[in-house]
Amino acid sequence: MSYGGAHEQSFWTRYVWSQDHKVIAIQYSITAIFVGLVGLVLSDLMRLQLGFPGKFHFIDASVYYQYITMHGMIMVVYLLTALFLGGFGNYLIPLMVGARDMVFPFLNMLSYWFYLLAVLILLASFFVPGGPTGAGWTLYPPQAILQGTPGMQWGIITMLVSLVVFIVAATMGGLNYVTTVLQARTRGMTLMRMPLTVWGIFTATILALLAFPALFVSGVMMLFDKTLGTSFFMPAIVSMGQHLTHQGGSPLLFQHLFWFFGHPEVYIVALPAFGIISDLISVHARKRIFGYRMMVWAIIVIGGLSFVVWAHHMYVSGMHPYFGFFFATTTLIIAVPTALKVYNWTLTLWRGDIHLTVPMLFAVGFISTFVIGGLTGLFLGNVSVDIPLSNTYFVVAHFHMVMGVSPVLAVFGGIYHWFPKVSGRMYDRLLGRLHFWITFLGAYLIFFPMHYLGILGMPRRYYAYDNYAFIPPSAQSLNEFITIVALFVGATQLLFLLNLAWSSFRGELAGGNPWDAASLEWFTPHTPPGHGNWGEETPVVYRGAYEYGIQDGDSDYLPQNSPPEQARGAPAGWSPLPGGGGKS
Amino acid sequence: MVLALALILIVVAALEFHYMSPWWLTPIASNWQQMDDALLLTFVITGVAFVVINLFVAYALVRFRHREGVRASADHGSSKLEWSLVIATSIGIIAMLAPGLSVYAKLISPPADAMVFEVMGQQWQWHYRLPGKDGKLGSTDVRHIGAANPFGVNPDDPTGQDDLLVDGQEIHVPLQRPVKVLLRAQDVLHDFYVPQFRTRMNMVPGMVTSFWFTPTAIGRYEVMCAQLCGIGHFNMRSHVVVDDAADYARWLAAQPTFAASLAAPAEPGRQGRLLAQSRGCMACHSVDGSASAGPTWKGLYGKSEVMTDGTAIKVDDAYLRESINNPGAHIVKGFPPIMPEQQFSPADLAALVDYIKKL
Amino acid sequence: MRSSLYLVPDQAGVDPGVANRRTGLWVFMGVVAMLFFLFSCAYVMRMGLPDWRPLPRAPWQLWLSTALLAAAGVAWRRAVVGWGCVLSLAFLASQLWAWRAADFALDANPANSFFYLITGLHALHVAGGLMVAVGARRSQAGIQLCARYWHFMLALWLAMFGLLFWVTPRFVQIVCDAF
Repeated sequence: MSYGGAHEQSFWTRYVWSQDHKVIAIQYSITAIFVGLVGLVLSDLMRLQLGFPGKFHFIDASVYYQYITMHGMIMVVYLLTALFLGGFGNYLIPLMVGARDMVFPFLNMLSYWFYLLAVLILLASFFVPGGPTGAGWTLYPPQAILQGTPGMQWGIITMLVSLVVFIVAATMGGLNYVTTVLQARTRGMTLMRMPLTVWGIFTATILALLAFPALFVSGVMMLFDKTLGTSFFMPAIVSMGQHLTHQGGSPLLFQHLFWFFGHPEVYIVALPAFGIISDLISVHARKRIFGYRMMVWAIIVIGGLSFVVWAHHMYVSGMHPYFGFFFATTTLIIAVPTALKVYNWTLTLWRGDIHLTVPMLFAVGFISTFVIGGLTGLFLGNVSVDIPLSNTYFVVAHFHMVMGVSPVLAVFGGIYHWFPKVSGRMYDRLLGRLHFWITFLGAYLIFFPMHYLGILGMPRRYYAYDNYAFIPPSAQSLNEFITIVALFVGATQLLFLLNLAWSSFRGELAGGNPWDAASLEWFTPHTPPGHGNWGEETPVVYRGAYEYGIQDGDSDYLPQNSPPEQARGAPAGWSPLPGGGGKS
Repeated sequence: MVLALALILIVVAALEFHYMSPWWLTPIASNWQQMDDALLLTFVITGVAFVVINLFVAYALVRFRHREGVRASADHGSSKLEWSLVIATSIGIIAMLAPGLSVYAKLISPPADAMVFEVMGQQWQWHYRLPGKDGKLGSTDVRHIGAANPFGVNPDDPTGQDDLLVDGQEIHVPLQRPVKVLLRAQDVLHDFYVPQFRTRMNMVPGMVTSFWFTPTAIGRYEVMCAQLCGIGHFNMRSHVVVDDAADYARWLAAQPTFAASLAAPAEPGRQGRLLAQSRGCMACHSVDGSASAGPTWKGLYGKSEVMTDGTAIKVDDAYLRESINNPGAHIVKGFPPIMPEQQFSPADLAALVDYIKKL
Repeated sequence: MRSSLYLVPDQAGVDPGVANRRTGLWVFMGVVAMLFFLFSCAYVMRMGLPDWRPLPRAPWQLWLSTALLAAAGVAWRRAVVGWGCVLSLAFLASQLWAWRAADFALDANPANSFFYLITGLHALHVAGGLMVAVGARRSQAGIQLCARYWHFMLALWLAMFGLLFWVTPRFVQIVCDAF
């Protein structure tokens, strides 16, 4: 397939029904950010109730539980997963491996439209009779489909159908990302020369392909229990005084299936973030990533281990107690490769040449917030320490730090970093810094104190805390404070969107490689990259993606695709592969 | 520079907050001091990591900030350093895991002589049952669950006849005696959580789960549901009272048996009261005048209530029947529109209305 | 896979599309295998609960299904597209026939529910394969990939057939005791 000549393309085939991975990536990103804003507003509404209980009459208990459920599901699945895999993955993988596009462009396009459909179905649940489900994002039966839970008629059905459609979309996209990395790397691009962003997204995609089926299984079985009266998860129940016809099902079966998906899901979000941060730190500190090989192995080991830790979400579920020993052990083991990655990021900064650009600010912010989020995971992974903390605000603070704050900082850092490549222009630096400081400090103010409310024993998913003797009035004041900070930080995100929008049209022209980065995506002949990415010939790669810290010569880095001195006049049969000569 | 300062500030503020925080563990009232010890050890180890890593980054940001003419080092890693860090981290992990698992082993091994009581969770209230003089709890089955028999005790089982069914939402336990709590649920998942006891467990319909502890401090402790169970989840309240031996014996003697409850003479409004309990009404409507999610029933009959649209309605039989069958028709001003719709047979409806009238 | 790892785009005569589709199909089969593995886990776990009643004997139509699916696989392997499609449609029809003959009430007991769920999803995957096959029928390579998918569907069918009718709580007990 030659990309030299121009195809005839209409507006519709270029920007709407596009099969170009870059357009699809932007479609995914815009949709994900839009639905993320909905999730953000939902969190503001929740915080209004927690900070000022009873003052906002339209937020009653039923509506509150609907807010928390939709907020959680939107953020975890429809924002973070879609943005990292469909947004970053689609844009960066072909460019970083030197391919012209994804290997199945038509399937890739379908994947976006199925994702959009899933989002629309999810949003439709706000308008169905009874409103959206209020069962918590974990959708545990029996309560998810019984009286007493909001949305138990149409809301839960809409939610489950939306998830099934999302899983189809994710599978279509996932097939593309995995196959492209395995098959479409350009000459010289061995697996061990790929940037860590690709490794992170690639591994996360494999996790997604293997973990989402568990959500599919549990979702379909719950749909059957709800609509066809089966008893996969429903034991004999007396609900509101009525004996139901279900019997013999196991609510714990759902939990095992859900968390078999749910735990890898958090690594589906974290691994791409890890990869992106490695790239940001390396580029902006002008230094090779410390221990590239171990960083790759750490990603793979974390991915593998993520499948054997799931029941740490179930320590107080009533499952067989012996499982507690096993899962506490595996969970604490997974901390080791994760810690190694943190050490390697900090060691990359050591003896670096650190430029505190906006992407670097966010990368450092990531390290700090991920460290605290990960450390609190050690409390919750250790079974006996978890028991009093389970289902309290300690858990809420932990997962927000480690899923809601640090990966989002990685998203922001990544967007600022690659914005010049995508748009050809530079973002406004002042707005970017302001955005960073408010978000970073605000996140600490919101979530750090929250841990202590959990240690006190305040349960999560409570609409109100009236008249509990063990809760001091100061806890309510703290909730008020957190609400005010959260509202302020939430509003600040508009600055980010304004910056992107304005800079796309009026930003200062950035050139092809404003960061002097070494990885392939910065060496497209045009910026923004054109259809087919590379012009007449795809690039040839001679080295890894992190050749910074070059001591002699004009430049402190070596691009992946610049030929080595020896290659001019290389013997016949010389190959860009590692090992250099002869065999190919 | 500023970023480095911010990181240092965060470390200092975090440490200060930790030591000054008014929000900390409730005073422990059970034998599980070791769980608190494991928690504190975890705080120490993770606290050190938090401080060291943030300060290291802060230092690096200053020391290795960009300066003209200075390039980053060509360094690309050190296997030796990485493996040393892996080993150090593993030691830290083992230091936390070992005590944690050792406490866990004790947590899952109740003593053979522990006394027993059973908690039955229901949307959105608690029921407590104790074995009677025979020391055995009667067998149960979901088939037997009804308004008058929330535990589903098998009426044909002789061991169940003397079981004590606690009257009200407060369970007492004697000081210093190990107790194994058996947990069941009628409808959805619940969780029996008393922060002062530290240990707790989910309550799963179709299963009996358990946990054990020894109460070590006299007092009255709040029980909270800690597993989302519907819209009344936040208001599912109860109390555990730890008594000395004498008080406990007195309390125990006053609890009615299952047999007595079956044979109970019909107190006026009994059927209605049992219905109100079994159908979840009590979760939101109090009978003693106290405020709750819904209007109190005390003195309700005959009152004139103002609705959200400003109209006033006199509470008579017709209004009560409408409120029960079609809760959305009129909402009393100042209350949220969250009452679920339920079906009642004409006899049950009449009994319930009758009960409310007499309060 | 060495030769397919380092592609040289724009080089005449080498069609990277074939290698891509081959890899893509392996990945997809991995995902589907995982899906049915998880259903099997759910089935075995549910089997452990006290109210389990095993399925009665397999309706004979399911044996017919097996033969039809195997034959369809052979047809694809021999690149006889017409027979491949017809036999696959016959497979789907025989599944429907088996459903009607079985006359298990869907919600009567958990094993029944699993029967419909698992065979239904398997049939959906065969149907999906048929739709893709219609698109791929013109290329030799495409037909071979269809054959591979059909063999996979057969292997999956045999595994699920075995699971539903021959894996009993006793069998699971024996296997677990062996560890």
